[in-house]
Amino acid sequence: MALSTHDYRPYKGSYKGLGYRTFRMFRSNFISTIKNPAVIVVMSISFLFAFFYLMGLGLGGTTLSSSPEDDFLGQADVRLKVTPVDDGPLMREVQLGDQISFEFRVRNTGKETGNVLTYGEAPNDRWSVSTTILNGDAVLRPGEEIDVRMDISIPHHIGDFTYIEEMDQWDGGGKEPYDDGTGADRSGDSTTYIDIYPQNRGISHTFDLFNVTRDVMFYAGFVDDYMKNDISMDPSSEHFNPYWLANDIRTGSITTLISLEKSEYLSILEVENVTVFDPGSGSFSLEIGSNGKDVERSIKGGGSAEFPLTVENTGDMDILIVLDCYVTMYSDRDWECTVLDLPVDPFMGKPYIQLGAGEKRDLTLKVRSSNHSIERSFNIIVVGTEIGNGSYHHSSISNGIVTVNEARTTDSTNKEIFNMTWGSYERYFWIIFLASVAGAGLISNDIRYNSISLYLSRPITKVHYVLSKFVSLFTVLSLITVIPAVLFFTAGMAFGSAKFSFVLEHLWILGALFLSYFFALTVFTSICLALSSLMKRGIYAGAAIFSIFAFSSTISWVLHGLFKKDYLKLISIHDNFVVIFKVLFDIDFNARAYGYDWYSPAAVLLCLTLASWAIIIYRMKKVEGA
Amino acid sequence: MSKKGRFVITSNRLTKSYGSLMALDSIDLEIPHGSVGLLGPNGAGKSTLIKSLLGLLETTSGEASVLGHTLGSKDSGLDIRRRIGYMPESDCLIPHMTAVGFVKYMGEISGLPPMVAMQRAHEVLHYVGIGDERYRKLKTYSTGMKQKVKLAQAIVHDPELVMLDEPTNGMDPTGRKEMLDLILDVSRNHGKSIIFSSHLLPDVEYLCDHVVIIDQGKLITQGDMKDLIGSIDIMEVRIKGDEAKFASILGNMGLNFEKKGPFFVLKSEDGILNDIYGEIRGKDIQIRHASRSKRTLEDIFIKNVGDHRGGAV
Repeated sequence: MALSTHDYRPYKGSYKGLGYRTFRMFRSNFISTIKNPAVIVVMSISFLFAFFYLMGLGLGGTTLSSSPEDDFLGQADVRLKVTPVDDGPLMREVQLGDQISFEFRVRNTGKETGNVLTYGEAPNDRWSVSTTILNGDAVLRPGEEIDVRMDISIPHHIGDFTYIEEMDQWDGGGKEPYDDGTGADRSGDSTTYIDIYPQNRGISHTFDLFNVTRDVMFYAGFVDDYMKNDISMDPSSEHFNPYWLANDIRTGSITTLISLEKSEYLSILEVENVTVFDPGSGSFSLEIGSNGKDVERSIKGGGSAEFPLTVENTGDMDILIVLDCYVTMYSDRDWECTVLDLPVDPFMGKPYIQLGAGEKRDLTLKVRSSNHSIERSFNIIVVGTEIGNGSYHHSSISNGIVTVNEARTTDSTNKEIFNMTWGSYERYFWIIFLASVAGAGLISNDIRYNSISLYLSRPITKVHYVLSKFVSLFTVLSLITVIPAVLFFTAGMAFGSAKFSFVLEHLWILGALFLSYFFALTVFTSICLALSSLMKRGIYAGAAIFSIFAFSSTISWVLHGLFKKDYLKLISIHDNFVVIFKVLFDIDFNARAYGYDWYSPAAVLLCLTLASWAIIIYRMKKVEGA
Repeated sequence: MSKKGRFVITSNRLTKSYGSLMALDSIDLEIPHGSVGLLGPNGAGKSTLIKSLLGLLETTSGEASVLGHTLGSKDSGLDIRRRIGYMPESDCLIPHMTAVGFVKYMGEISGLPPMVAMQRAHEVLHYVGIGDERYRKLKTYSTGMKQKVKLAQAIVHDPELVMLDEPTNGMDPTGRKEMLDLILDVSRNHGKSIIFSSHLLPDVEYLCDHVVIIDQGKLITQGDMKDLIGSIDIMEVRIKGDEAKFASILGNMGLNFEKKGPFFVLKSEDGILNDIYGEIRGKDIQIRHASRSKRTLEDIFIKNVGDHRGGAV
């Protein structure tokens, strides 16, 4: 026969081990993946976006970390538009004991990201007013919107209630919304309203009040020295001057802005048929410390302190007291204030104590600042409500003072880096896109071209085959996730502070980034390989990968919108990642707003990953090989 | 020499079942060094046998030894596959790779260092007759070229045993001849043992020293090609006259025969033709054709498989 001039030579050398052979498979998969033109395009665009983002940071568009003052001063284009979700009346007549709710849609119509703090302000603490963010989180990027529900429980009993909450209003030229024009005595009436605060969380904001239209109602919540004066409670205060506020905005004060498209009125509650009950003869006293002297504690931002609390039944009957505790000027979101070692009333969710006539108990009050920014003192207010006899008695004290001597909250680097990475759907989108083009053909093409039989006829096992595929996709996805994340972190450090100690303090964020990407890319890669092993054509696998990751959020939103069940939000893979990583990045996570804690999304993603591996193992078993 | 040393593959009651289906049914093999043809109708269990011997399939029972490695023992699959080259029947090439890249890659995952793999990839591609085309992507290759690349990847790492599953499938006569010569060269001149699975019996007859025939998962026969084919000379006889009467005469003479078309095929023995002439004299039967010949592999195959299936092939 006419063979070629090159004869066949025996190989005299030694053969490399299994680790080497697996590495060569990984290398080949990795190189062929990143040489894929679609992968090159997606990666390039992704890097371009990350580059522009970093350029934006470098040009001063956003400050990552700052001094405490920057938390409240500065300029940013954040505007909130609030509209009712449905067409129900915003002004409603109610009866004592009613429970009503309003839903509002808050949209950031500005050009920069802001945080929304929501709370409902009640006339007094017998009312229960709570607000819940129904979807998404408080960080509103431009064009994003969230729904907020305000639940209002009107007390069954007014008791000796005579408090009148009335505030000056400005409607841009029309009549005052709270003035019914009758001049009637409105003692016994009350009003409540919702305030939606765009509050700075590390990014500086300013609010352009010159865009206020005649439909806009606003009032001042906090001004420069808001720590000293809660002027919203004191309409007669000289600080309370909406015109003055409008002028002052440019200096950087924080002001509440509520924008209503449809109405000048936002949830004005007129209480009628007020019945005054006999308050009874029970009475009690509360005291922090003893002899009326202030008890002072000093903590660091994020620290906690305990105060001695004495409660005494000074009446002649057995009483049951519910104890509540507040730190002035801050909502529960920022502070925790609890009375220790007391059972919690299941209905009110507050600790309670039963005291016989003349009985006195020494208790401990614990105050914790979750993550506080301001170096200053705060009053601790304890409110006791006697509810055991069908009537309400009230006692409150404020002789506890806690001083934050080292601020912490203002360091929002973790939030900013989170927002740039997992908080940004854009970054997530690029992972989906890249996973779709890079992961689709990894196994499906081998099945399609039958090259899998060739691989498995070599001295490797199925485990090593899958491992090489897994690691190659994981590595490719890391290129557009971990590298930009490290750059974001570096930028955060660079713009936050030049001090090495600052970098050291924040190294944990880098750890959180790595951990989050390790977890997320494990989930992504597992699902991609499972889908790839199920399909014979890469394009189908790619479409399936894209659909599962991208449309799970859409499906979740639609179903949640239709059925209003919190657990439907667990369908969204992206939302599940966000919830888990909020906890990982030590960012306030409002489990109540979501309707579930972080471990539910973690369980969902874990199940998805395990199911993916079950599919991969099943499919590989179907392939005849080792 | 021990049994393991004399044979590249031995098996004892090797069985592979899929539920009630017996893909391999108590196969006892003794495959010596050299080139061995593996024959069997479609679905006979040839591919299952090859995959089992490669350690790719876990057998149900029985035992087997390949190149001295006992199947099923720890890492035996890896050890066996490192010393074996496998050329699958189906198209299995990665279309976007070049031939040289592909063969190099296969060499690497067989344990060759990168530089060596590259050098040997070029060499074996030249050896199988792929010249400058080796830099082209495999998706541009003709069927014959693809078969050659498949052979190249099977031998790039210098295996001791090469398993070839239908290597001449889809090739034109010239290409088929080239491929057979290549395989013959690999076997005869380079000391490789070959297991050659094919439907094309002339190819097997051309290449192989030893034959294994399986059908419906069972071993039908195995042995040296010379023994199987050369042991039986046959004679074909065509007559003019009453064929039933002639058959009766042959029966009365105690001769076994087969009727193949116009021919009576019977075992050739010295002087038998004269005996037949003697018997038909005066009975109005003329012998118009009588020729002696050796049996072909096809005869062996059809006879053995036919016997196994009770006459129906």
